[in-house]
Amino acid sequence: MKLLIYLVSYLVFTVTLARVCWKAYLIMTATGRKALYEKNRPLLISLPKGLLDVVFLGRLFRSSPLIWFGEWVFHVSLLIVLFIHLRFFTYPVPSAVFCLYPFSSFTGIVMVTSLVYIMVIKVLFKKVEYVSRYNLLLISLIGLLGVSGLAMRYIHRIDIIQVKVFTMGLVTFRPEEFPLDILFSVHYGGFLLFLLLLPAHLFTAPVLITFASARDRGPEEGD
Amino acid sequence: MPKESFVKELSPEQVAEIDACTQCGECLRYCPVQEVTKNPDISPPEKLRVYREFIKATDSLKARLFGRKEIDRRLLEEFTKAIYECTTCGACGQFCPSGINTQRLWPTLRREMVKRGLGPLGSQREIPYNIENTGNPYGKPMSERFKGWFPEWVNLKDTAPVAYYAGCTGAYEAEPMVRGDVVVLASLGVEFTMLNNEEEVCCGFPLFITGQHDMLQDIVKRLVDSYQRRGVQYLVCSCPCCLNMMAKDWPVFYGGPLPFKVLHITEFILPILRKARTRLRRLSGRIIYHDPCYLSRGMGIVRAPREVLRSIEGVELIELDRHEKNSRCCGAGGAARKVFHENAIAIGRLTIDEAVRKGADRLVLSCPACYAKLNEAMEGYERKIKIVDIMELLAEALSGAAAEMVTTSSRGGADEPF
Repeated sequence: MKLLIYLVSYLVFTVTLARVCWKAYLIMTATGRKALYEKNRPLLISLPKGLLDVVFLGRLFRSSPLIWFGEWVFHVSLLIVLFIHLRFFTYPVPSAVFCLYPFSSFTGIVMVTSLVYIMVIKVLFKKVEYVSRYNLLLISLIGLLGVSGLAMRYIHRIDIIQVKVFTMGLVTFRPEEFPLDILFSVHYGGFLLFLLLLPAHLFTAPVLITFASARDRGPEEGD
Repeated sequence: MPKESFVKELSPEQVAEIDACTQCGECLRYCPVQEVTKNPDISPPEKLRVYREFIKATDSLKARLFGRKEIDRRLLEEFTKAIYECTTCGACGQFCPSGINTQRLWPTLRREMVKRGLGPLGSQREIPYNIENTGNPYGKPMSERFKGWFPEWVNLKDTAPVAYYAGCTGAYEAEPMVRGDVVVLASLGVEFTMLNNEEEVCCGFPLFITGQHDMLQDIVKRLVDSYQRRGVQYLVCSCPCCLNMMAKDWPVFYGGPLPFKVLHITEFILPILRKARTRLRRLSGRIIYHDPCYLSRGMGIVRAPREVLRSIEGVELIELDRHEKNSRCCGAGGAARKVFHENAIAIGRLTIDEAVRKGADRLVLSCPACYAKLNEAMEGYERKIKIVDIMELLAEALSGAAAEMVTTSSRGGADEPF
């Protein structure tokens, strides 16, 4: 059982890594012709604005401030939650993780609430015409991860030492016992599934937003 | 062919764009085709999702390791229809939170469908034949390219640093617009040259936008060489589609930077106009300006047309709700207007409705396709507004000798050289 869980885990990690590398290869080896447009602003000049757009999801704000609020809060809280999870995979735990740890419960609650907020806004206020099944699956999965994570903290506390031993075993390639707990099983299984469904826009969108910023700012007419 | 790679035509940026769509659906609120069809199956995120499936079937790691999957012909045909129903206005990209440059992406996907024998659709298939035989996509006689609209009093130079390119839609379907261009250039004292009716052929945009690239290299080389022989340093054009083609794609098909600069007519005349402001005649009324998609989102030109309009004293310039780079398509774009005629008319009427509702006296355009389509959309429609091209309006405002010449010439009279 122990070995099977480790095997499945490493298989998922390998598939995810291979998928990301393959995507990068496809992008780098694409040979289609690109328009040569000299009037677009050089990327370096528009970079600060582009980075701001990436960090604050500026393009979404311009399109829909209501959705932007939920999405930005969600992305930031997800990032913090993931960062705090580093405590399970590092030893010694970096001090920055300790600094944020007191906010972990609050951030988890905010993350789940923001997902609910996004759904409510989309369904009730914006009467969204396009529903992506993939997006719904992802949102449900992240919601499940968030709820199960919070439940392990407040409702059904699990042996955190046992979890850390298991996760450190994953990192150091020294298999340890899987914590036999229903909530943790759901949480970890959901995480593996999330990796398999990992949305590629996490990697490509930040780059494209920066390019779009260069397009938006140029050309200066009459130059 | 259904098993062939789906990424061959894409640039690295475009491969990334296919994956960058989060399918949030924000773009649907701005898509003109969605506005009139309410069909999410042909929406931008759905098209990208389907194309992602194509790539997954032929180019994913699994497909490369264990063999490519065959794609259902019906699915390919449905995708082709969806991709050609688009007006390629690029509004979806303008509002895309991930910054996908859809105005460039859709034509590339169309190219992929053409390679597979699925596109283009309907009368779009006649475009290469028409251009080959008549020099224009409409199949109209080459000899009539400048007939009926070119002012007789305008003298063209054999060689000059400035050349004017009229374009096919302007010359055959929006004559008052190209007439306005020539009148304004001449009235402002610009000495310019033009290619004759055999030399000035289609810029290649209709071929590019429908994904039919075979003739493009020849056409571009022929046109660029002709302008180079005439000593041209600035090529001036008023058609936003031609301008996009010249500025962005001619260098690609020519094989390097062009030996001249390409400018929109408003950009070119603005500095001259600033000096000549005293010569403008006062006009009156409320005008509303529609930004053509390929001029605003395509070329980023939104300021120059407004400055030109504001230089005309007496007129009040008002804006459409969606203006500048956020403008709404007129329905004519992407060569979809001939195949999906009803969509185009319905989209065009949205702009007419808004202009009428805002109490504008004249709807000012700066694109021959918008000009032709909006005039067509008004036929048999209860709401009416006078449609005028920006250069047509400016020609009207040019006072003194120039204005007189416009009037005389429009009566078919004087041949007095300017």
